[in-house]
Amino acid sequence: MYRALAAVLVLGMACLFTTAHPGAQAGSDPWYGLQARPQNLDEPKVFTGAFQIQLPKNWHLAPGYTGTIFSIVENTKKWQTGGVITLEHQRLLASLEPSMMATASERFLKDAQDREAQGKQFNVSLKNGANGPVILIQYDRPGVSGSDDHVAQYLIPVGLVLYRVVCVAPTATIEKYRPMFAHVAASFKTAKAGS
Amino acid sequence: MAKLLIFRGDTQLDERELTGKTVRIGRAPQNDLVLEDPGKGVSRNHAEIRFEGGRYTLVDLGSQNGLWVSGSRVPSVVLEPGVSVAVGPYRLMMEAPVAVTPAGGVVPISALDTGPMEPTQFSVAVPLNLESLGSAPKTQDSAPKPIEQRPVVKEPRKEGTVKKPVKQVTVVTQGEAAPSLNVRILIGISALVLLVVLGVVGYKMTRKPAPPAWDASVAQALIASGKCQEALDTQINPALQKDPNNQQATTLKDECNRTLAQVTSVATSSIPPATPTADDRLNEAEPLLQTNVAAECQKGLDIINAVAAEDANNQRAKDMAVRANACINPIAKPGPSAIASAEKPAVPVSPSQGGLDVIQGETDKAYKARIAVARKKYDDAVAVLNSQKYQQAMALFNELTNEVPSGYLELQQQREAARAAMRAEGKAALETAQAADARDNYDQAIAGYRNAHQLDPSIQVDALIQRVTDRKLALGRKKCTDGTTDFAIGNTSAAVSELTDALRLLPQSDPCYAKAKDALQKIQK
Repeated sequence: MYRALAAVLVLGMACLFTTAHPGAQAGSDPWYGLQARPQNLDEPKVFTGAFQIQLPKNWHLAPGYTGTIFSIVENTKKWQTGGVITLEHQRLLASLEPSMMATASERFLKDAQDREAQGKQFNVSLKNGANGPVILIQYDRPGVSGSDDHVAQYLIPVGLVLYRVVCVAPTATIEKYRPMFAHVAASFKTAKAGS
Repeated sequence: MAKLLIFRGDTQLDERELTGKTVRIGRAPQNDLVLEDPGKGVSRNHAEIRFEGGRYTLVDLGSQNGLWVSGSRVPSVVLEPGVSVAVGPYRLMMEAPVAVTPAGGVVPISALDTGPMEPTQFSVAVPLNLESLGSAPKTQDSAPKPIEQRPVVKEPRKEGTVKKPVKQVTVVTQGEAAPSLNVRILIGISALVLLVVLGVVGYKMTRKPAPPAWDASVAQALIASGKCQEALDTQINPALQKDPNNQQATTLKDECNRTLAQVTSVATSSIPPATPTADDRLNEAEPLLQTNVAAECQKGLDIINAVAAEDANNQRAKDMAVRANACINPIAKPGPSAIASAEKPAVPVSPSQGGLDVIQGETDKAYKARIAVARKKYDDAVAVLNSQKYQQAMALFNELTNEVPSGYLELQQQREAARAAMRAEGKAALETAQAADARDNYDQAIAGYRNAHQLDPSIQVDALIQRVTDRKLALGRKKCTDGTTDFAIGNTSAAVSELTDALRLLPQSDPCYAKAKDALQKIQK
């Protein structure tokens, strides 16, 4: 009797947890999803009333300009490279509908390849985000420290704005950053589509 | 009996008895008295002598050069002895009354005349032979006086007309006894006087009648009255002969020449064209009937009817009218000229000879008309087949098959030929369509497949067309998505190309079509 009740409670808790947030898929997708108990992330931060996002604790926030809204950088020893997250945005001439995402993925991947002449191991995938489909483009590129950096770009179209969450960390230690990057990207939400 | 003497110059050419009948005079051969004149001083119908009121009158018939008496032109003149009338180069005068000599001989006054005489100059006298003076009187030889150039004047060619010999000159002496000296002197003086008179008269008579004096107003009046030639002959040319520098005469001559040239031109142009014969006109109608086209046959019938109206017994016109009516209205009631043919019962013609099945009670004319219509359709279809329009030919043959009996001419063979040609064309069309399909030229491929099936219905193309249509739609949608995406992210140059393709490939009913069109319009803005 108690065993059965305990099983129902466990299942109920599990269902509740998974439906409460897109992060419920975190377990299934290593690169896009909320962590169950993110200890190294701050509470969701709302910026200018337009969008909110959860960012790593103790990282330094740096302002951006033009297409860059901000950057937040990991505290490291001098001349050591760590992780960095940049939020960019660009205007779209038309909304990217779900039917266009495949084409858009190809176009953005090709754009990245064109820009990163020394990039390698490019790949693109589509994720289901809170505001709709999210395009994830990943690749490695030579870092400033001499070793490769891994780049994960999350392209989140919201109305006539395309948000781009770009997460970069040394390829050698990328597994340490991957859950954080997946959570940060999955935590991005706009207050109103197109704003 | 009155006699008319004809002179030319000093020479008497002929004489003519006047019987009271009118004598026509002129250059034309049909005249009673023909006066030849290559110089055309004598008109073709110059004058005529009429017997009126017991006397003969010479009347001008509107000749160009007219009648001249004593230097004046006259419209008519009473012919009397001593009155000399100039007609061109000829002179006409009546024979003088016969003088009866004491010896009983007769001497015609004209025989003494050596030329035309003016009435005032004429005197009746008995000419004497000077050689007889002082010698025994003797009777003058009655041999005819020789005449030079006698045959100038021609008689009209009338049978039974006997040309009269020239009057012989007869001189009769005055008596048997020898004359006395006084008498001889008297006779000698008389003879001298007579010789002088004769010399004067001869001189005057040999002179041509003087033309009328130059009078520009007369010439202008003649020109104004349409008598240009007369003005030239009587006024202008003589004036120019006298004075070649006569400017007024020269001007009038030019005017006359222009007028005469116009008259000649008008006369030439007004010659009516030769009237075509009935056969000519029927020959003209024949090709119209051969066209076997109603409108053309109607034109031919109009010609035929016109010929028939002139000659109701023209059998060829009747026959052609029958043909024309059959051509114009094969089933209409025949016209009057075709009744006989129309009332005959139809005589069946073998289908192999182009014949049809006879309808009960059908007349021969109606039957033949139906045959003609069917034959025309057949010929038209064959012509279309020969022009390689196989589908059209096949349709015509199929239509004809329902109207004619089996075995009609070579209809079946022609249909087979058309069908075989269509099959060959269908195969070629299928290959062309497949090539277009391989090139993703969807519209050409679809049209080619449909054409192949139309040419040869045994070629099944539905699945092929569906496959091409699906591919076309899929490509259109992809182009549409790519185009709208590229447009959204700012790749406008790529978007234009893709959206244009999308609009070409997608049906307007497709949901993406409107999006592509909208995006393209925004880019173009």
